[in-house]
Amino acid sequence: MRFKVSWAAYAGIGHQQLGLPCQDAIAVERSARTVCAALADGAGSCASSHIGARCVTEYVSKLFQERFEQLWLLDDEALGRLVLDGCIQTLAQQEPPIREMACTLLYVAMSRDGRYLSGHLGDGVQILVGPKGSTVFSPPENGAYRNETFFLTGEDAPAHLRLGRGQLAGGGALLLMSDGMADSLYQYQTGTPAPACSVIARWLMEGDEQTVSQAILDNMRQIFSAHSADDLSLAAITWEDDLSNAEGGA
Amino acid sequence: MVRDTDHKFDGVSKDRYLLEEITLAENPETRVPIVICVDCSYSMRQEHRLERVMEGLEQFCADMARDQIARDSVDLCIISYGGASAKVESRFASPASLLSQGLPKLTAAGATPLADAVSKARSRLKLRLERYNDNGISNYRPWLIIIGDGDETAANQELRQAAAELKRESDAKHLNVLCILVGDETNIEYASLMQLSPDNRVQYLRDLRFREFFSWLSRSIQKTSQSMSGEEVNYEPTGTWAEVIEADS
Repeated sequence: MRFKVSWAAYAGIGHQQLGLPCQDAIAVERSARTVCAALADGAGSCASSHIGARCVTEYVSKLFQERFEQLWLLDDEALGRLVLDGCIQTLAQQEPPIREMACTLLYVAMSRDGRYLSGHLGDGVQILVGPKGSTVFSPPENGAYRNETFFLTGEDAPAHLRLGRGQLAGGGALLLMSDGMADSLYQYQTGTPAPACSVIARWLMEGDEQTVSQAILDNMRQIFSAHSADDLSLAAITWEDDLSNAEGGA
Repeated sequence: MVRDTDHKFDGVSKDRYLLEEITLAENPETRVPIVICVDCSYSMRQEHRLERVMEGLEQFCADMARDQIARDSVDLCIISYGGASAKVESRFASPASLLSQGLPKLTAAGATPLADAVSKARSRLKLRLERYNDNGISNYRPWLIIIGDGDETAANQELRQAAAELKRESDAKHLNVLCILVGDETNIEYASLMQLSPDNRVQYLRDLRFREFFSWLSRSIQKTSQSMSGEEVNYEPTGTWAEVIEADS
């Protein structure tokens, strides 16, 4: 499989007006064999959540890129524990108190033979775009109210980390997004993706990574920010069969 | 990653990379359900208390109707309690729609059926939240605001039960409860409101400063309707318009 990845993050109007940084972060790591994209949305009420989001996305993307095969062999319980413990240990090395770095987490790691490992804690959405259209790969998890969700730093994090694994074949795309982006790309009433998900996936399938990353950012500035004052972040991974290299192909 | 501050790519994307609105999700604004229970017992005639409440309420609706986000978020229900029982004067509606149909004309007479007001408020809220759920509409934590100048006329088991339910819902962070007391400073009755207040605090509104109270409420609701996921909303202190009476004071 050949992968392409585009991504962008944009400080929402609410944070721009207050002079606060974007609390969403994305990190992408890739090698010849694997690709991993991780996205985190820092808790609005935590002053250092942008640091937490950056640290955990860097940690998770590197972890899965470097150790995908080992992690694939773990059962979900052990894998979940390893991810959460690693994130907390990473946060503990930072200066702010851990509770001030609360954030959500979404990630997808894929190997060249089409196997994937994914994880999701809190809100935000993961969308799968395939030949027959787009479907929800992992839905948001909110608390009792829309502005309440679950964080990596919460005591209940193990209960809310949702793991996925499987095999993806042919061509397709996965979109990872924060809740701010989901306001534009996810229909909460029906739990379905907006048509724009397929459009963005097609851009990346047909275009180059940098152009599409810029296009995503332009849309955040001009289109998505009119739908949400929240921070916006989106990572898109596309894949297609690599006919020139049949190693492990599905 | 491309960040807002990065300019390493030349120019902006071509128009073909701009999404059309029609391809985006249409999510309704997250609602802030608010029930305001207004005391319409006979004593509310004094100092034109009831008129002052309604003036403040009208101002609140106008403020909310002007706010770009709150106008689609605020969902307001008005319940009166005076005479033999409480009455739903206005079902849940947006501030603009309440203004256009005119706020209910309330009159002050009779006793203070406070427990009945709480019961009706909770029942209306429950139905409203079910309606949101059925229609896939998300909501923020609801508000219950009780404005009064006297104690429950028939102090009884119902009031204790209402207080216990409000306490349970408030502790579970399922409801914001605010008890506003008006009345003669030298002869205030607040035992019932205090009993209903989950945090054992009653906000005593000096000089019938309803405009100041509703301005505070407007700002609080605006903050709520603009809050983002994971954000604990910090409201302004109430000291600018009220004197806080605590249970042991």
